[in-house]
Amino acid sequence: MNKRKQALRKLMSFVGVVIVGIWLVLAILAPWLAPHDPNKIDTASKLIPPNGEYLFGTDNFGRDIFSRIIYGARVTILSGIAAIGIASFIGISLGAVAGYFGGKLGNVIMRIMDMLLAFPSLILAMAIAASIGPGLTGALIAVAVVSVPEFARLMYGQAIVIKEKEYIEASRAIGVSHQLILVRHVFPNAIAPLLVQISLSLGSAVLTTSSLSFIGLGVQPPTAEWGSMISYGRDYIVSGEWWMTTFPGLAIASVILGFISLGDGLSDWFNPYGQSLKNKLKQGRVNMKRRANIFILLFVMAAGLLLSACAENANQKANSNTKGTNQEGKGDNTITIAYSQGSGQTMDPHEAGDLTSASYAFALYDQLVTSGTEEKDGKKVGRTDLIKPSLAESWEISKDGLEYTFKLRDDVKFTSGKPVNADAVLYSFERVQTKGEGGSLYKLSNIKSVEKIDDKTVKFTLSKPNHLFLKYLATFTFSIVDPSVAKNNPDDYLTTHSAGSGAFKLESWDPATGAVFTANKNYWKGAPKADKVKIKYVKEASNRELFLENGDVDVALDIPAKDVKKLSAKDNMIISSQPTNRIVYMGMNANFKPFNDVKVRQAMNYVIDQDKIINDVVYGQGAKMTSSISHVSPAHTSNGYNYKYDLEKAKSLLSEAGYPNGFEFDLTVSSATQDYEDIAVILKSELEKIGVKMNIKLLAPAQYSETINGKKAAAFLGKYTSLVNDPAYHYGFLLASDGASNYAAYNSKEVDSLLAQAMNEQDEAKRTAIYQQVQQKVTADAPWAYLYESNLIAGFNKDVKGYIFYPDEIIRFVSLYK
Amino acid sequence: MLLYILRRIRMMIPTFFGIAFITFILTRILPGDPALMIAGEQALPEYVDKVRAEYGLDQPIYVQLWEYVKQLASGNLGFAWHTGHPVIEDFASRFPATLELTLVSIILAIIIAIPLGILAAAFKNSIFDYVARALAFFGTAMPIFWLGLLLIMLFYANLNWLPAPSGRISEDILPPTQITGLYIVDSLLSGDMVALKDSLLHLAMPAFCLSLGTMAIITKMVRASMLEVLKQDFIRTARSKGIREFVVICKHGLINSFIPTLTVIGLQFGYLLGGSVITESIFVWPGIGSYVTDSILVSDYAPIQAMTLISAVLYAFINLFVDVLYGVLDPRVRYE
Amino acid sequence: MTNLLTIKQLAIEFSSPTGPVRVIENVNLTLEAGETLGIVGESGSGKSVTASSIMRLLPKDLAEISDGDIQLKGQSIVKLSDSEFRKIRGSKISMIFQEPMTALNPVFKIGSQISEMILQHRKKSKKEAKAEVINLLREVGISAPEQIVNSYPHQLSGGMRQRIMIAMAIAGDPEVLIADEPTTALDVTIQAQVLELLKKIQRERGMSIILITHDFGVVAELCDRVCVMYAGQIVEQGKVSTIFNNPRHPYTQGLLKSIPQFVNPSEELYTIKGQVPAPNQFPKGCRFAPRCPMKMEICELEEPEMIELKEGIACKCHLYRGETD
Repeated sequence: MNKRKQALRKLMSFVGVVIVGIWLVLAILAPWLAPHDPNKIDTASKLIPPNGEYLFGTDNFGRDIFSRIIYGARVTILSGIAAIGIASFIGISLGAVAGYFGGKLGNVIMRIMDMLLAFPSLILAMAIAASIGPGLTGALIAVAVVSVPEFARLMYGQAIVIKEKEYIEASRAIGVSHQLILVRHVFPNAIAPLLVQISLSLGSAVLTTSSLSFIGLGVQPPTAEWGSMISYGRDYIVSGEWWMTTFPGLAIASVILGFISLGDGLSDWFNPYGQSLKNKLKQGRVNMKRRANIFILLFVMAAGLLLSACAENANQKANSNTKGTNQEGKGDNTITIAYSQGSGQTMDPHEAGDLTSASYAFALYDQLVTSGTEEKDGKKVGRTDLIKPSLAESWEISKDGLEYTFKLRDDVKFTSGKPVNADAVLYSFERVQTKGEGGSLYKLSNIKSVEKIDDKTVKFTLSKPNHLFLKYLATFTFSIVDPSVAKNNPDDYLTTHSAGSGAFKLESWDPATGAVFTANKNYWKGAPKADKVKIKYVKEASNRELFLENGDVDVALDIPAKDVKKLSAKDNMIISSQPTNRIVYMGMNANFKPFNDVKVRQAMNYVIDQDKIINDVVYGQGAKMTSSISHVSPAHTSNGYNYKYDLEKAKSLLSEAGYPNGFEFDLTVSSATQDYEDIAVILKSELEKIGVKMNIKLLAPAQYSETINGKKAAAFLGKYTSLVNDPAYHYGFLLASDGASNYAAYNSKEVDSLLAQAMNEQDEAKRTAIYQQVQQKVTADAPWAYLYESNLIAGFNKDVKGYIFYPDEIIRFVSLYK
Repeated sequence: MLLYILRRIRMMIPTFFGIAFITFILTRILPGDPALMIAGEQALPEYVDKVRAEYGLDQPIYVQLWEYVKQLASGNLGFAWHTGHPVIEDFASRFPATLELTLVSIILAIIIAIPLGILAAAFKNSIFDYVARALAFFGTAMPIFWLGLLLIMLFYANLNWLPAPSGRISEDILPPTQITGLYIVDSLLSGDMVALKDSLLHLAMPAFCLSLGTMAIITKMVRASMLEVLKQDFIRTARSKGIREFVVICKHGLINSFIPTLTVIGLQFGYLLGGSVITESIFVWPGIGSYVTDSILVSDYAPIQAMTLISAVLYAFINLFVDVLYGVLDPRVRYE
Repeated sequence: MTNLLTIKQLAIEFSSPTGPVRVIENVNLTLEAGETLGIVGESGSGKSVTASSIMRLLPKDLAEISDGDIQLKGQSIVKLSDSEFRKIRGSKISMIFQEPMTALNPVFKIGSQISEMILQHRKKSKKEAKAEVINLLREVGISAPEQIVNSYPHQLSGGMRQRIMIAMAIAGDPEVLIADEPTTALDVTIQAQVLELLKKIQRERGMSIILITHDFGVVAELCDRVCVMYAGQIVEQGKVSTIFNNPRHPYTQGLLKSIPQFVNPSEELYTIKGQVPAPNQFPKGCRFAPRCPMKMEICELEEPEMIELKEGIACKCHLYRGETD
């Protein structure tokens, strides 16, 4: 190779060595080089752009990004080295054995390698990391596994060739053992390409690790890691905090570049190919080439910075760019809603188990009774604890509370034209029993039998009195479906089609993109004011906000709390933030030490600074949680809640309990929502102040579910929204000793007997008093540390009217119009 | 030729079994009880058990494996409880989106990379050479997710030249009449220019993002192999015939350098399949990639299994196709 | 007789880390219509460079003609633009190369590769070109041209390929054929056939041939006149018979002596001491001086002139100073 090219390659590998060297130094000497503590939370200094003190700015917790990047180098690079180290060792051994000894074993080994190589590496890595669970270990193993085949192949190729060489035969002839041959001859000859491969694989490993973390399969919070930093920063791009994504990205790119240059350089150093006698350097071009290539590198990095610096003005620009709300074809009155949690599972009300599917049910179907509304602050608000007639115009309850007789309205028809009569009700309740979700609720309702008295009258007989019964009937699960449609079609027809009497009909549903509902003009409550409701599934909050701003949607559900202030300032939209039934708490299982001691559990409650959490995590869009049930529920009382943020008190309680120096425990957290990770991070830093070490165990939702349900978590972050706004339902699930959602394994005979008493108490006032006693007992026993109650936040175009908020978080869009 | 193909397919069969086995193992060791997830948060334990039995999740592992194999043989890829549909239906409805994205990406990559690589080799040290080398560097080191976010920041949030990263077409524009599922093709076939323009605008960022890595590698490969080829004797012969330099490079040079390039293009499909997962996630593209990411995050393993299996099989077939094409282009290979 | 090709004072420079290097210098030769001129020399003498420069096949970014002129029928071809020169390349001047194994494009059929040449330079339709290809193949002695036309290079032997190269080279009906070591890579028997073929073609078409070789035997077979090159310069040139019988330059003498004679078995093989100098290390004065058995003082100081001697021989050596025709 001609001299100029040689010089060039030497330069590039030099640059590669320099880059890798710098990062290695940063990684190893991180604790001494980082100007700030990467995990120090200082919410007062959150989201500061790069300046003198914080070279790369701060993130949403006020942590210094520069320091986090340096520490991130540790994770990324050192774990990359570990993974590739393992992979190369395994791969080289396998390849050597397969190539040198050959035979059946060799064949099998190489076949397995081929199979591994058959998978696109990122997908295989994702599958492996998903299997093992979020965390560095999973990512490490994933990267190692996908890197092994390349090394094996390489070594195999080398071994095969060298095996045939004469000096190997000679060695064998004089009796040298196989092992020695491998070590003395095979390996040294293979070192050159192996070193090159190692270098390139390291670059790959960095990319894969950060990709996995970006998706959420890698490192757990609060550990700094570049890929997850970019993922966090993603939510802040549009609001203009570009530094959160840019710098980690540059870090990743530069490390990868470094490894690639190094690899290329090594490759040429070992293997200068092509001797062309006639090719000689042209004088004077050398220096220019050197300079040029450095410029390429610098330009690339500068370009990245520039690109993202441009985004600093993103916010203002986007603001001034409101497209009209009407493009062609929007002459009819259509409301477009951006949903946040995917497509939902089904249109079948008897099977619906998630909020999205529930909203479909409420649009397409009616129930015997329904939740009432009231006027509050000039707005209509839903009251899920008030029952009003719906399909049934009136009802009678027997004195013993066991028989409910409903009289159906005369004038209601399904969209098929068939009447909604007793047969339909009977059929619906027969059907609901056969479904998973429906079956559960059926059982909870204590329904013994459903009889048709006449065409318009239905009688329900309960096995035990159940004052929740009417509220159950109002839920979407007990929707009345059209038997003429359901019976004449396969069982899963209702999953994708509507067969109801509700305000809308289902026009189309593409689980990948959205659904369209058309108004039922003959709706017995009066046709909805909107002609069509279009639902779009927009998983990214930033996108939902953008669409709302640009007028691409009229309603955006689930606006992140951090954006409420900013969005409320815009004059083309209204942000609605209302308290719901949702409670967020830290559960403590008394079967695990030290939570067996009530003093310890109470101490935890004194570490919780609810104001801070509400401020920092949900930016004020929440309410204090002063009981084990939300303040929106009937019978709520804050009596007995005397906890407040008092670290001294917490410390002294711990000492009394016998833990003057604190203790250590694992907090199980679901990776489903960002907020919970944030709370965990704050909790951890508070607990450190009193000497308690908390390890955040982030689990994928299914794992989290399994752990919680098995009551295997010592402590966990939990949330709960009662479907039925009633303490009987709430406590029945959560804190009764046999409650299906009692993941903290709370077991109090007193509470159990109070609950049973209340269940049988017909008088509402007396019931309320009993529930208040329950609450006080629970608060004193402190199986939970109360964190906060979260609001339901949704954004509306200012032209949209008719929104009615319901505390069960399910949106009913029948009342919306423009 | 046909025999060669059949022979190759026969050799791939044990590999397919291996792949199926590996995917099964992988996802069966996924911790987390799917029955719980399917039944829902507020379901009673009896109903969770019922669900478990329904899905056969309470059987011993070898029974589950056998069931899985039987299922596969009948073309059943399992049931995705988080969408409520059979996996094969979800795949079918989402496949065109991913296919369109991947095709456009690879076409984009090829259209830019091949001419650039040729120019870089033919005019060494010219501006083309610099651009090609910068691209090769830039492209291989860029993490896709970062690039995607940067593009969104610049072209959407800041300059507003390109539409929001959400889906294949704007909210208020009807997708073209479905013939192939590929919006570009369909809108051309039905003469729907509005949809065509809009679809192209939506494809711009994700396709570019996905194609960059491939573009970089193909450019590198074309340039390197062209340089090698142009050193060969037969190029000198071609020149000595008095043919235009352009023809020498494109006709004589290109085909010869295309052969190693093809292999690289085939391998790139693996990268594209993986990269599409991330790209779809960022641009909220309703394809298989984002479907699989969602499944991973909620631990719904049927789609993960299916995706891993399908991508491996697809990858194997693409590489077979490339090998065959190799034989078509290079007569020396044919007569084996 | 008119001079078909004239090379005057040709000098060619290559770029090197230390600056441009003159690889050949003061090269003067003429080629007449219908004659075969041999250029002989060891590796590194500059003969291939000279040949390539006639065809302008030297790598553009590394080499350039720094001095002198090449003229075809009196017209300078050095100054022509690329597109104008391409009309000459292949149609007036053609070249065949040393390695037939790699000189053909492996992915195209033989027929198309030859047709390409015809279609480029002669106004024929595709069909006519095809027919012509078959004729050409027959002309070069290939017995089943219809089959060969559809074959690929890798299916044919070295000798066949060289014939095909020749066919390709004459497809444009050139006036000058440059053959750069055409037989070096072939077996001895095939060598003879190829040389025969060249002779035949020359006779039948009245072509001139420049034959580059290091093998005097080949020169004897084919050439009318010969140039001997050493270290980038022509040291002797003249009629083949004259030079063979009475070589003047010490280098030529050494070369001829080095040919194994197989007459006296016990005699040691003769070698010329020393090595050919690299282009950036040409000695001052006569370049052959360090190795010359007849070196004189002046040889290391002054470069000798090309002296025209009797019998049409020119020799570049101080020995013949003062002798002119």
